[in-house]
Amino acid sequence: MPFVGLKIMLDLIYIGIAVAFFAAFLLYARGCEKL
Amino acid sequence: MNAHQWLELALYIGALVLVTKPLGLYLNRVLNPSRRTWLDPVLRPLEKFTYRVLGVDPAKEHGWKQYAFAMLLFSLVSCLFTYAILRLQQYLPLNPQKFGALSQHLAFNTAVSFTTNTNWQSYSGESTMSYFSQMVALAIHNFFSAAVGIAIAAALVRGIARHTAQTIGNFWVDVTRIMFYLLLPICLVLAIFFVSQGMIQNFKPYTTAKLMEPQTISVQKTDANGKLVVDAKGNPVMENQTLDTQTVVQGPMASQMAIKMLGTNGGGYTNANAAHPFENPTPLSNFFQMLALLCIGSAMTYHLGRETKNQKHGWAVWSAMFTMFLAGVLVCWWAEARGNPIHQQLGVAVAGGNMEGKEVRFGIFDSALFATVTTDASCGAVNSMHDSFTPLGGLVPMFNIQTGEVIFGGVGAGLYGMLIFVILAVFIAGLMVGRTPEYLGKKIEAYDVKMALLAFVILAFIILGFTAWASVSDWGKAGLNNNGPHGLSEILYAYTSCAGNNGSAFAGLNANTPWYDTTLGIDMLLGRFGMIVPLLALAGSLARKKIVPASAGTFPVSGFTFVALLVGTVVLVGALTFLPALALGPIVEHFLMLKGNLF
Repeated sequence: MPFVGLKIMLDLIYIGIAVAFFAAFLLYARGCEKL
Repeated sequence: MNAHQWLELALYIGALVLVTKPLGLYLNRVLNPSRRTWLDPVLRPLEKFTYRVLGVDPAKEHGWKQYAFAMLLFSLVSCLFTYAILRLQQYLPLNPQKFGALSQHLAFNTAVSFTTNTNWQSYSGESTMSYFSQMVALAIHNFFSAAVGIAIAAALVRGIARHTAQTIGNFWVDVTRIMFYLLLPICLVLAIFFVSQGMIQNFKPYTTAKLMEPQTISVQKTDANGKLVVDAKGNPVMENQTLDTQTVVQGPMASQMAIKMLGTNGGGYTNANAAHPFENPTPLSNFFQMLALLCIGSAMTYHLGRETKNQKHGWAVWSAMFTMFLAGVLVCWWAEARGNPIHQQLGVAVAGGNMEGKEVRFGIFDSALFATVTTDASCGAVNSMHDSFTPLGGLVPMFNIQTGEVIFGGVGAGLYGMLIFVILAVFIAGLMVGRTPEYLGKKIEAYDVKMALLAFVILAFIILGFTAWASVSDWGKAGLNNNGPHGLSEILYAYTSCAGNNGSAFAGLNANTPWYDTTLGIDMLLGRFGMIVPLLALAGSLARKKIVPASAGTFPVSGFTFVALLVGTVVLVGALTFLPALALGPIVEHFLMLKGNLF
């Protein structure tokens, strides 16, 4: 069970990285507008 | 460098020139939704049905921020969709080899890689991906990411062509029309042609063939747990193995290879990519794969001229691209044909040059031309191993990517990358004569130059930053197969290839590790979207501007002076940014090779 938990946690980390970067690109677009 | 090879180069250039205008005219119709194409009777109902299903109003155009939001949302959703398929591969159909799920870091790297049109592969396709993953996760992304690239270029061209406008097109309409009218029909024809050349297209399980001559090979011994055995001194314990069978890959290859080349994606079905006889069966398939790579990039320049009602400008941009293309081919070909002087001193040189890492079927010229074409475009396909090129031969593909792949470039990406340099060139010309720069009747102001520079600087920052980090880190050095300047070239090439969304590998680098997969994935995301967002901002800014009538002081954006300034800008900006890193890698390796040192 801990192994399964670790695998799911790693999945969430990598999905989180992708989502965080796309959210950052949205903020980046707002920054570009104000530059 | 014989007559036959010169003739093939002339044929390739001739074919590229011939295809540019008709494809450019067709592309212009596809990218203007109000105009009709000859495929309208068949595809228009399908297009309208797609808008209805997606809830898209095709008459409503986007401002640049809406366009950027739609593009980012589309890319995120398709990226997560791919990640899910790769992680759940063992539960999904069409998996006769019963491949398991990819590790989390490899699934992340691969999903990002195909979303960003990079197609960097830290895996061997034939031993990792099920047919379902190849078709649904990867081939579909080849269409999506290529369509997104063309859509961004189309939006930027609209921004240049329009005046006092608030919108730059509708992202969903652009992507739908590019998919239906451009990519799918050409890929259908191309896939059938590839099958006619011997490329496979089936769902059969892999074939096991009995070898005519069993082979004995020496491999490192493994224990009962599958771990590699070493002796007391830490040296590997070897044992002989006799191989009498070979597994022959099968699967839906032709359908994937068509878009792999046309969409400048490059992700191979097999690890050997276009060097594999199934993936590139004949010299003719090799020729048309190379032509497919550059044809849309070349046609985009015609679309630029048509849309801005200045065809001379379109051809001037084409001429600048062509000049750099020809220079790259000739340098790479010369370096490979000259070969390695150490081999000549030892008397083991192959007639005709450096054949290490090259397919005998293709030889020096077709390998050098393919390597140049694939790195001019943002394509990761290879028909030879760039790691085995001579230092100067290997420098050409790397420098092509470092210029931002603007030499025809990736579909769409090449044109929008080159337009950054056009903005910089007219800005420099304006500085030289002391007047506000203009581009096709628009005044180029501080904001426009900032956006153009931001789009370029982000590439340089991530390539050099990640390379420096990996070069001094234990995790970075652990992946190397070669030391010294060649090892640095391997790392530099990897981060250059991923940031430039090229995807070709120098080889020699074991990149399937959590650190490399994650950092290369981030490198790809920043290289793609870090560049696109300011470009869309630039498109929005240009679209809002008024047209200023041309005067005697207006710098012409056609003719020899403009082409020379544009080429000079691309080469100088690329050289100034990357020369120190290249000097420590392939350039110093070249001089050490001349002194008899290899790495």
